Amino acid sequence: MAGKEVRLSFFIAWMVISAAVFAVLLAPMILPGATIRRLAPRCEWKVRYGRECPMCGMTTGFMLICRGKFKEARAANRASISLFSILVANEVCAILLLGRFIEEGRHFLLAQKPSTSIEATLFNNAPQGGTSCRS
Amino acid sequence: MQVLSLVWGILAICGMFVAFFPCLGSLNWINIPFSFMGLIIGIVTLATTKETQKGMSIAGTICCGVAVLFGLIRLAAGGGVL
Repeated sequence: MAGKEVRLSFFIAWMVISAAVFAVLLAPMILPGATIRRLAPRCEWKVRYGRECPMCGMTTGFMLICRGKFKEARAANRASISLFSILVANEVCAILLLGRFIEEGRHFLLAQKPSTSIEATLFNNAPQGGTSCRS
Repeated sequence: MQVLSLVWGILAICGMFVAFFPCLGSLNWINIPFSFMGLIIGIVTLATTKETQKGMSIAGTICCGVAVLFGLIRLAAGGGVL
């Protein structure tokens, strides 16, 4: 019972984080470059110590990736393409799982009847034919 | 309420780790109040739930407490911005 709720908590937290990541990925596509540069945090390492941090160039890299300039993005920050790919993969997984949750989990949450595949996905130890833990 | 407490704790810890990046230290100005709210929610949940069901709210409260503590240390170490 508690295990299910813990997994649900992690699922909700993951969805919230994925929504924030989605906004980060979408911003370079819909906002002009000058606005993003203004919104992006200024690297204090550069200002104080005069050297770049590992994240320096990431904003430029993401903007260039969205415009299809992968070589320039790699030049801006070597990790930008890898990080962008990981974030996109995370979004795809999150959207797929959220779709299944909305489709099947809704019945599990509202109708109080045992669900099929969403329970198997989220709650591996779901009782077959048992009753929901929610009252 | 227990789920909310744990979700808040997880998000606070994630925010804390993101704020550890060198150029994102100022994120702690948002994450610390957020974690503090989670701490209050966790304490309220702890006070209102039964003794046997306190695990999740304890976890959420600890996560928020850790996020507040390390966030403050990180904020102080970075001079508020670094």
